[in-house]
Amino acid sequence: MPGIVIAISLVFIGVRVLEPIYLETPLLILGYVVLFLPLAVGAVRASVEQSPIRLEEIARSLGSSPRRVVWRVTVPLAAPGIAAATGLVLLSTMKELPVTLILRPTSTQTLATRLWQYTSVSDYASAGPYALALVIFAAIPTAALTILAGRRHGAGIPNG
Amino acid sequence: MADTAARPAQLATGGGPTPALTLCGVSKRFGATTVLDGVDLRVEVGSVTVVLGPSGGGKTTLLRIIAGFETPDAGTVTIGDTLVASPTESVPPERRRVGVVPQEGALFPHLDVAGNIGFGLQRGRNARRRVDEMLELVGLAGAGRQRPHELSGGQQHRVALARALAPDPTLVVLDEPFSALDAGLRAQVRAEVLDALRASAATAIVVTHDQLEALSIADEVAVLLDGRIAQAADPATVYGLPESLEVATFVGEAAILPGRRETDRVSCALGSLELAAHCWNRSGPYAELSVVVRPEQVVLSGIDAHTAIGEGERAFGTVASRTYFGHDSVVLVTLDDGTELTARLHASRLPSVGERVAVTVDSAVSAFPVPITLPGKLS
Repeated sequence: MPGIVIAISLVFIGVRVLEPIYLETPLLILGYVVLFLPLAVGAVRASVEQSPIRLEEIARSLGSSPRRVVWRVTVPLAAPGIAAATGLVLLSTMKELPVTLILRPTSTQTLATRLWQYTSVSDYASAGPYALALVIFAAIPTAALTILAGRRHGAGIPNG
Repeated sequence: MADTAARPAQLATGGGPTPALTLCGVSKRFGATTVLDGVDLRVEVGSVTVVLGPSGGGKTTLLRIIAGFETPDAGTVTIGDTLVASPTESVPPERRRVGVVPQEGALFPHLDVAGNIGFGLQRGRNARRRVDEMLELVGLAGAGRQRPHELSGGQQHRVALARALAPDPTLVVLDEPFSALDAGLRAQVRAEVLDALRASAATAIVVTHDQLEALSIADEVAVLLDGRIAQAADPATVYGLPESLEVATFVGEAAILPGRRETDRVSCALGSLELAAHCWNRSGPYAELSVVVRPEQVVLSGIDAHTAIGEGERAFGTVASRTYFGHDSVVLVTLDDGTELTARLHASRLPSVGERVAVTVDSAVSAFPVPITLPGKLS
């Protein structure tokens, strides 16, 4: 769903029902949750589904109850996927603009809003540092993800 | 246990020590396909039993039922003297004490070798000692800190075995344990795994479709055909004294010739052959039989060679092809009546292609009262 649709819906809800947190951080966070939860769930589910059932069966045959299998096998195997989902959501949140602009508390700025403000008045020199910061912060999780993915590939998780 | 009474009477009264595993009438169907159709099997404590059957013949399903990953539709599974599965109840895998060694090893990729082997142990100093013991047992002492992906296929397999054996299970089941390995490695890993199994005195069930493997490693071979155990006996009996034509043709190579019963002999394209004693009661006089001739029973000699064998006990043919294997050779002979027959010969003196030979059979043959058309499943 486009961010603008979610933002305006939340403005409506905020004005009508959630007046106390309208234009406060919690509502902004709620906006991000609505916007990015599908992204996170998709990535996490894919990685949990990739954890081979066979390994879970083996773990059971070695005496682990189903609940312990989740902690000892499924979660560790899905960890790279969970980390990837986290990184993905973090990145998307940092660069998110419409929901942030509409729902942020009046005094709060994000890198993206600053960048947008300066570029909208063609003050590229002032926008520069924010853009650079955004690129650097985006690069960190991307690099981490790449390294993780590489290690995981090397580990050769069987997919049977 | 209160459900002891539910066990079929013949198990409770079965002679000898309690078997490690007893299957009684185990059946399983998936949709319209009946995979197992009343499997009965007894596995003695400390033995290596091989379940031999064609690919897709329900062997893996049988193992999964034993391990508790599937429940049977009918029949019971008893481990030691505990009933673990019946259509109405099922002990979960974690309480069965059945170690599983899957086909491709399937080590936990997020744990090192020691972590894998120690997975089924309670944490503590004893666990560490046990892990070291197991590493020693499978010949990987000092490899505890390595990651699974750093190991070769054979090493991964031995770790999987050590992992299964570490909690000292009542039973360890191995699913096609060597099929993922290439031929050269296979024999070596097989020997190593078997040594480790014997050294641990574990009761093992190995599932395979490889008959040579089955015959060479088993104390007992259970032939699983059409969802039933067609024969369960020691390897020499299964190979030498098969109980049915299906077993005879599935285990080992054999030529099947049409024949007719004559008292304690059978006549076929190769003349009159001695009938193995275990087949005497399987057919009446003059019954139409399918005669099983193993390649190594066939003897070829020159047509003019002087032998004591009577004219009625040999046949003549022409060598159609020969394949040299070093330790022996396989010679394909076309008999004068058109029947094709393979002979496995020592390589010292081989007839050449096109040569006329006399064909005799040097030992008693099995024969079964069935039409010559083989069951469709085997072709």
